[in-house]
Amino acid sequence: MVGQEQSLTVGRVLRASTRGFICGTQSNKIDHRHDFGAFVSAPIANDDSVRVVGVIYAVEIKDDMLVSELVMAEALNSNILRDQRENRMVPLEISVLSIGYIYRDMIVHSLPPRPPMSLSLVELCTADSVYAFTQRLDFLPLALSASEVPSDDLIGAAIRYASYAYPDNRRYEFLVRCGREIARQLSHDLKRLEHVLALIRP
Amino acid sequence: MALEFNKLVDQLLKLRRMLDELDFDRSSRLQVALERFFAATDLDLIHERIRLTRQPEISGYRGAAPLDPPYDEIICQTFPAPACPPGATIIAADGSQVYPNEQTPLPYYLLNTGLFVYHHGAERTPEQITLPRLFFHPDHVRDAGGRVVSHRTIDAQRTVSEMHELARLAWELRGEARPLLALYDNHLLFWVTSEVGNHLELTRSYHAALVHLHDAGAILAGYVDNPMRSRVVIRLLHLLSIPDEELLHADMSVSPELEGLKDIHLFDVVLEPGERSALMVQNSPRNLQYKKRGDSYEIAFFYLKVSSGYRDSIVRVDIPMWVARDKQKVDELHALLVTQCQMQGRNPYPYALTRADELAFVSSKDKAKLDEMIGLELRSKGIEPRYFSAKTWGKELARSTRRQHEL
Repeated sequence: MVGQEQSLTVGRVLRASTRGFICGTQSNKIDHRHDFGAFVSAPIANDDSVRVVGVIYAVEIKDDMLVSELVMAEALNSNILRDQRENRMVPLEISVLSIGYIYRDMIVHSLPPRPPMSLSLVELCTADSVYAFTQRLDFLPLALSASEVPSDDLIGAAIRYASYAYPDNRRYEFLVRCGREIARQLSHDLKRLEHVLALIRP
Repeated sequence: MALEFNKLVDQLLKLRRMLDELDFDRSSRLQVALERFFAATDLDLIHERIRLTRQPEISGYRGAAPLDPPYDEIICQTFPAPACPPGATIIAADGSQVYPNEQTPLPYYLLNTGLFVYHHGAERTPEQITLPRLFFHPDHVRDAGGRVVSHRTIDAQRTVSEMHELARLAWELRGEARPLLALYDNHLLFWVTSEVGNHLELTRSYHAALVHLHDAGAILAGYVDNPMRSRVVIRLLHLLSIPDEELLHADMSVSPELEGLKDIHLFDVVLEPGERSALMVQNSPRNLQYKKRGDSYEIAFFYLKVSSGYRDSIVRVDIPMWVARDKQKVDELHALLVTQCQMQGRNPYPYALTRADELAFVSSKDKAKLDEMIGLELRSKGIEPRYFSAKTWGKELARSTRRQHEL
C-alpha cells in the first residue's frame, strides 16, 4: 500500500489558487508521473473530503548558478552529472490547471471552492478515477478557455492520456466523443478546431 | 530612507582624483622581483641566509624558506602538472556557523560541517554528509565570566571540528582507492590566542586531527583560493638582496623596491596554467611550533596556477611535511587539484570544495527556521523566545518593507 502511495506521488504543493497550482519535487524523481497532460489530484484546503483534479501543463527544471557554470564545461564529468542529479536538490516545478474537483464521490467539472494548501501531497489520478472523471466532458471548456496555458496542446495531451484509462475496445469511441465535444466548443474557430482534432486523431 | 546619492557626487569626484594620483603600475617593481627570483638558484646560499635570520640576534623574518635538504627545491623552479592518477578518493571539508544572539533568553550557536567525497576515476555517485551541531547549554554558550562566547572562539571551534571530521572520514575511507586526498578550505597553520576560550584544548585537538590524518595515510592539503595578503616569497627576495653586513639591522618586512607586490603578482607571471612553484616553508614561530610537535607536522606550501581554460587563478596550497617529503604524493595532489579545477565550467576551483561549501552553508532562511523551531520549544515552556528592546523594535518597524497594521 505504501509502495503504491509512493508510486502515485507527483510532488507537494508550493503555491496555489483556485485556477491551478504549482507543485515541487526533486529533479531525480521525474518520470511518467510528471508527463504533460497527466491527470493529478490534491486535497483542497482544510477539507479532506474534497480533492481538486487538474492536468499538468508545464514542467520546469530550475537552475542555479553552479548548474549555469557546469553547462559551460566542455565535457561534463559523469560523476558530476550524477552528483547534480542525485545529490543536489535541483527543484522541479510542475504547473497544474484545475479542471474540476471530487466532493466525496461526486465529480464536478468546475473550479474548486478553495485551492489546495501548500505542502499538500499531489498524486497521479488512477486509471479508474481518470475513467470516472472523463465520463462527462464538461471539463473541456475550462481547459480550452485557459489563456495562461498552451491549451490546444494540453487538450490533445490530456485526451490522449485519458484514453489509456479506457479499455482498448472503447478507446476509439472515447476519442470520437471528445472530438465531437471539441467541435461543438470550437465551431467558431475552424482553424483551431482542425489543429486540436489533428492532435487527438487515433 | 534611501541613501541620498546626490550628496555623494562630490565625494566620488574626489575618489576619482585620488585614483588619478595613485600609481597602479607595478611593472617596474615586478621586474625587480623577477630578476631576483630567477637569480635565486643557489640553494646553499639561501639556506645559509635563512640560517642567519634564525639566530637570536636577528629577528622578524617571516618569509619563505626552502625545505631542508634533501627535499629542497630550487626556488625559481616550476613544475608542470604531472599525469593524473587513474583512481583517487577526494574528501573535501568545509564549515559554517550561526553565532549566538545575546538578545534571546536562550542564546545558542550552531556549527555545520559539510563533507563531500568524490571518487576520481570511478563511475560512482559522490557522497555528501552534513553534520550540524547545536550548542545551547550555558556551559558551552557562556565563558567563565558568564559572557556569551566570542565569534573568534566559535570560529576556532569550527576549524577544529572541520579538521576532526575530515580526519574521521579519511580514516573510515582508508580502504578506498588511493591516493586519499583530504582537502581543507583554508590555510593549515591554525593558531588560537589565549583570548579564545579553551585555546589549549582546541590546539591539542587540532593537532590530534592532523595526526589522525597522517595515520590514515591521507594527503592533506589546505587550499587558499585568494592568497592576496601572502608575500612570503617577496620577503625572501628582499632577504636575499640584503648585504651580509646589513643583515643584523635590516628591516625584514619592507623593501621599497618591492613595495606593494604580493606573491600572487609574481607567480601570475612565473607560472603557466597547471604549473606549481617549488615547495617552501614559511619561516615563522607558529610553524616552528608545528615542527616541534614532530617533523612531519611542519607546514609547507606551494603556489599553483589553476585554470579552467577560460580563467586562470593563483592559489596557495598548504601541505604538512609528511606530504611535502613524498614526491609522489605531491605529484598526485598537484595533478588532482588541476583536474578538480577544470570541472566546473569557467570557474577554476576544486569541484569537491565547492560542494563541501554548499553543504556546510547555513542560509538566512535556514537560520530563521531554526530560530522558529527553538522559539516553539521556548514558548511551550511559556518563555517568549525573543526580547525586543524599544530600540530594536523601532528599527524592525522602520526598516521593514511591509506596512504594519497591528495595534
